[in-house]
Amino acid sequence: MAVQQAPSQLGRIICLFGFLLLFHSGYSTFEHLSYLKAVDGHEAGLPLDITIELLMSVALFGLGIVLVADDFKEILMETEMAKQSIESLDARPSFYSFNHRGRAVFRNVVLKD
Amino acid sequence: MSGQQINPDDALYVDMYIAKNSQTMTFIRSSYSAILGLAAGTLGLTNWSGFIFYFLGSAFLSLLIFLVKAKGNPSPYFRQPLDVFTEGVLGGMLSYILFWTLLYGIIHVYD
Repeated sequence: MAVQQAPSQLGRIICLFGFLLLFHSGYSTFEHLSYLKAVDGHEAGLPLDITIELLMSVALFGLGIVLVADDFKEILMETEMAKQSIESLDARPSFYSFNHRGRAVFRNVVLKD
Repeated sequence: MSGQQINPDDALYVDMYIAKNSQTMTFIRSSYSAILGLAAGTLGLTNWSGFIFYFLGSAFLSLLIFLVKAKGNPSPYFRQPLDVFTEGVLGGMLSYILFWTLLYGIIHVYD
């Protein structure tokens, strides 16, 4: 697999803010429902500010996650080949040669210890 | 080559990068489905309104991916450019339902 790049710090901070907003709105909802139960009120939708807070946290999370994720790679073979040098193409395994004249030429060479 | 069919697309695309891109898409979609599920459970959505919320959220996310990740031009990154809007939407729905029911239960049912 290709090398993972470091996630963007900005995206992480945005995700953190999104999480705090989400947590706070969840807690507010819970509190609101407990209040309604205590005063025997009917549940008639959430208050507008909690709804707006939730939608804002969802929007922030979207931006944060998109920033944190790795960048897309260009999948065309053409653009990938344009980045590689000719040496990397020459070094492919089908060019390896094991039956060469080196065995005869260097027969009398003594390697030093 | 005897009996082997050669797919012309094999030489056209780098398979590893196709897999890498779909992995990135899966990461974005599944994390965001979990977040959408948390929001839907907190809002107390039930029945079809929850699924409509999911599809609206996914459309918003697709737009973000299209604008921020693909920089407005998805064709170098996907075999079909429309994949940027559709890939992983139905797969993310399972984790969406999981977190939706979890938060709905925590906040609206067992208080």
